[in-house]
Amino acid sequence: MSWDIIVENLGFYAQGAKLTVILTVASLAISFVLAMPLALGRNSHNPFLRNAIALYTLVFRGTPLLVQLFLIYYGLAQFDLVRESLLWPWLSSALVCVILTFVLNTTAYTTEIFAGSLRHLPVGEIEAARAYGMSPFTRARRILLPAMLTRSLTLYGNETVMMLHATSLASTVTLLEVTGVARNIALNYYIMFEPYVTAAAIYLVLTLVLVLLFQFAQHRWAGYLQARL
Amino acid sequence: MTKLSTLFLGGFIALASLSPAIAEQVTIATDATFPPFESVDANGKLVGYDIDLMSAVCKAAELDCNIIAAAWDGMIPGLTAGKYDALISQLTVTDARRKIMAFSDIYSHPTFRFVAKKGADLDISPDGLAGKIIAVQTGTPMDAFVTKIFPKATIKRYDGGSAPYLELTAGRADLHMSYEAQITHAFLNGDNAETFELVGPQYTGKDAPEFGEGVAIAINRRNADLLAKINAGLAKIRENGELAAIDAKYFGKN
Amino acid sequence: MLGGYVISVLAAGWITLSLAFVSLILAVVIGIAAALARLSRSRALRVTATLYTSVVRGIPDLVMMLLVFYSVPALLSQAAQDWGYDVYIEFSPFGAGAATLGLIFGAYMAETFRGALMNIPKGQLEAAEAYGLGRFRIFWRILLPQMMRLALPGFTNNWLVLAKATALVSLLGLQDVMFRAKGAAEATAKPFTFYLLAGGFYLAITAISLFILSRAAKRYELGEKELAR
Repeated sequence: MSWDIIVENLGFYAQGAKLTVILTVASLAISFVLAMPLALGRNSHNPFLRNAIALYTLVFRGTPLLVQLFLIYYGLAQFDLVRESLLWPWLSSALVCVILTFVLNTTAYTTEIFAGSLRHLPVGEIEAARAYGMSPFTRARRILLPAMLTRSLTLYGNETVMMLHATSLASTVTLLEVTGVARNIALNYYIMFEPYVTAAAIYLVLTLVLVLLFQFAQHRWAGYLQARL
Repeated sequence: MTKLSTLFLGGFIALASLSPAIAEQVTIATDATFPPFESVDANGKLVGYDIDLMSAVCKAAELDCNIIAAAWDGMIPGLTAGKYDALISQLTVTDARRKIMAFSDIYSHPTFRFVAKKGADLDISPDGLAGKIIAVQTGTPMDAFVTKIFPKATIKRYDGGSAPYLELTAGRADLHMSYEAQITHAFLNGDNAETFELVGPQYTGKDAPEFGEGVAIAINRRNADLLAKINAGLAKIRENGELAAIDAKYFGKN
Repeated sequence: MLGGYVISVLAAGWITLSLAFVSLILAVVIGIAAALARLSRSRALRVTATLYTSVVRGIPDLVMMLLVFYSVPALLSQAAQDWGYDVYIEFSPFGAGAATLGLIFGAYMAETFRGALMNIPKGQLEAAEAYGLGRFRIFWRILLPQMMRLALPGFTNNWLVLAKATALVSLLGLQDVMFRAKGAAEATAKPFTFYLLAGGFYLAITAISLFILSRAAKRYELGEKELAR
């Protein structure tokens, strides 16, 4: 067992973990903000809006993240138009491409989760809000969104764990997050067991933190939804 | 044993036996992202210089060889663990590698060079390349060399041999270092020759230990028998001109 | 020339589909076993199963695959050699891929099946026991049919995620759709074309699966009265 090599490289693992966390938090934060209006739109009366968003979520939930990642990172760079555009300094960076892909992907899932919760809100609350004369915007802000968020907590918690795990794919496009560091060590030192086990351990810890965070959030904000037997 | 573990054990054994484990067959792995030496053609078949070479060696040594495409990630560890019996993939013989695997007789002496955009006017020196982006395949002699000699450059590593070229043409990398024969015959043929060119000196094992002594077939250290047979096969095809014929087929007169 | 590549990419669909189905079967078998273990009277079984589902769901799919394909054989071979056996344990990419996917999605299926089993009214179990039905009979005649109906949405979801996760096995060298697409993309320098093609393939699987499984859901729901919302 060559654990000494792992100990030597703990610094790299730490940097990798930092990148993993940054990728996860950045993608989740941006997609959270985007998913809320999209979820409202997904349940809108306007069929054009509803179906356009449904198409978006279908495409991004119906294809593997790996395909989406390669399509955006390698695929877009194929076109001269893209390479000569104003966006190129951004799109040429692996980090930007990765976050863009992750955001597109997790926004699709989050939108469906939020939209599903919206559909199951007690109609009575919404009617009462209308009776009080709240504008659609106020209705959304004070009634719909808070209720939607608390009802989505379990499923959204799962989605955040999925996002954390998805960051391991960034290693396929040169980014050195935890999995990238592990693969690098494996390739350069010819050891196959220790690097990946270490990576797995790091992910387990990060996942645990995330799960505990959401359990706390559920107790704190969605306690009123728990069935008491 | 709990039900679960019996299930797992049974499952593993069953799946392990799914892999071809015929007694006399020799499994040879290659990283098929490296034309013209090894690549997968439009029909999914393995083709290339190394493929032809290995098939010839096997025929000459009367071995039943099965050449498969494998992921570069796991090729060398796969050899030491016994997953593969031999590797052929333009593998450079270096001291570091000799410690963990055995090599056949050397069959080629490649040179290594940088390729970059025409007119990029690059100064190939540790300071000249500061801040430039160099693309290489991870875990290759080029990777080791560039990491050591050009610490001020940004080095991007890829797990296959062809991805760095895409990055070069996309402009995400300023230079790529690879085997000169590969650059010339697989990249600089056709349109790319108008935009890209070889730059810098020709490197060989004499310039840096990372570039090794030459290219050979890697064999599991424990398998002295296979090593002898492969060397015999190599000697035979050298003698009867088959090796020269393969050289001519891919590289014209060498 | 492009056409040849397109055909070879799509032809690999056969490998992708076989991998997905084999993994699905494994996942269902493991899932049922683990679900029953989690609900069993034996504390040892409950703890083992919970440990299994927690650990497997706490590691990214890619890392899990790298562990099974690289680390496990390395460990087993090392152990075998330490005991004097000259045996080399190897997994083909297909075998390792199927084993990993089976293990990963076995954990998710376990959660789905467990949720479904818990929703079957306990009264039925008590009545069955009162009638003297043996444990296997109870499972086969009472639990399983109802579990299938209740588990169908979760099952559908797990299947869709599994089908897309097969794309990751290409990173182990399995010549599936993704592997061929990557090869074609690099050989022709047209990544967008081929990754779009690959994406289209997976989208087709998703769409067809959704269609078939929603028909199945309707069929199973005949005779059930849903709580009016």
